[in-house]
Amino acid sequence: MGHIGKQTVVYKTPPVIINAYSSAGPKEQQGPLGEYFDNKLPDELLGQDSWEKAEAHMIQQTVQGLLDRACKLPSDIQYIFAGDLQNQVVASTFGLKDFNIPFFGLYGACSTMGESMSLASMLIAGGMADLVIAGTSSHYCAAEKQFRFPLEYAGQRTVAQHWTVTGSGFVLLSRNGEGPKITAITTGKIVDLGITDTFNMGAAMAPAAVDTILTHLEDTNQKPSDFDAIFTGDLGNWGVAIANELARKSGVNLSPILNDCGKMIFDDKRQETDAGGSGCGCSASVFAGYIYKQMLKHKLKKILLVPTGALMSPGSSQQGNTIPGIAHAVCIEM
Amino acid sequence: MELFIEYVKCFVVGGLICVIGQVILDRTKLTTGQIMIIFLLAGAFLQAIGVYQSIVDFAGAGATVPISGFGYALAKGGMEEVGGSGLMGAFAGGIKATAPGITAAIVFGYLVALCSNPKSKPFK
Amino acid sequence: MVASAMEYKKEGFIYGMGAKLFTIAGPVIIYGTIASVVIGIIYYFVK
Repeated sequence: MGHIGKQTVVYKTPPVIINAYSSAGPKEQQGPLGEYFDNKLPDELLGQDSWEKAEAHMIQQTVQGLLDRACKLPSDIQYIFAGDLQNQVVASTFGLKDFNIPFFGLYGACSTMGESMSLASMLIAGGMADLVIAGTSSHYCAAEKQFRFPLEYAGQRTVAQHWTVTGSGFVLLSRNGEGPKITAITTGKIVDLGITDTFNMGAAMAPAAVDTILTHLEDTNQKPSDFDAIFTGDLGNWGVAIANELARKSGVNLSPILNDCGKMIFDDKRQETDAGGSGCGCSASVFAGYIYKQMLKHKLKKILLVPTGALMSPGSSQQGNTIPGIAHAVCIEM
Repeated sequence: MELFIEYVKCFVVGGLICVIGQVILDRTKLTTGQIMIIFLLAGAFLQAIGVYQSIVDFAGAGATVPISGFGYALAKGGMEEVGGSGLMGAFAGGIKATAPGITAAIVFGYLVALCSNPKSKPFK
Repeated sequence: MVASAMEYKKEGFIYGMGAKLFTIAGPVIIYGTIASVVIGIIYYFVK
């Protein structure tokens, strides 16, 4: 076990994902994967009086759902890794504070699921914990309010724009047990190809996704066909096309097995989501709700989960900065 | 019949102004906010050179309702006040002319915001 | 104006609603006023 190649860690005793739990909002429930989400939220406010509090509440419900399903108490868990899109990661703070689990708050934008699962797996494989929870969330209304315009403003959407998912996904990692195992992780670098258009996240993140995927293949000496599927987080329709093209230029053909959680979660034409779903909750809920279950049924045996994030703040693009991307790869085998 | 023609002129000019905005939005990388300010300043500038008044005379509300009409009102106010009270009029004129509009926006905007809560988008 | 103010109501009447009423309208009033002053001054000297 240990660090191999440029950015990869391979585990001799792979941590096991012994359980997973997902929450999803009404629009996500009406998408192609609607039936797979565990906690189907009735609306986006959940009886709270702001979108931000609703997201915190959703996180709390998701982690509680995970603990209930795994028949564990909060006191059984050594660490929890979580993050979200809200300023200063407050959704996770307020959602998790009552569990009293030692908490690592993270920010990786929409790559946070990859980041949290990577760090959690390192702790377990390193022998420093037995049970660790990792996950993330996002909320459409809270994200729009913070990053773009107030909801009622009714600004026009562009073709390359994404729809932030209202959803959450958390997984429970253990040293022992049955289930899909995290066998390797590749941590992404910040990749900047100079994209400045805040309405085209796919283009901002695709280079990072390709960089991490190709590095993973190189470090572990594998080919795309060694995997049943590679799932990126939220490249969307445009981002996937760009990613395939970038990979092709490096001599690697990803198109047969590359899929994207953002493309899978919504029916873009019917639900008018333009380029597809996005947000930390996109890859989290799709993995915890759908992909995990497919692996338990042995329909997928070896996958690479590559959540992708666009690293920016509401003010950074206004200051003329570009939008760099980052992607964290998690190799999961049944 | 005359009233009808008046409405048609109003409709066509107002629509044309909006179409120009839509074309700019679709064809350039300008944001809605930037286009709004451009239209505002364009209205002010066109009034300064005397052109916008003719459009208002022709199309009435079709020219005064869009944001360019707000720029027109500001510029016209500035110029008229200068005509009456000299240089200091430049500082009073714009806001003086648009005061009812701004006040109405503040008062009614506040009341509506007080009484409503943001709702999410309809789901499909 | 209303959209911004509505959205930030939860943050209180002064810093939330009050401040946010002008998030999008602010630039309009600022640049419009400046334009009217500039045009007024130029008009004075041209006259």
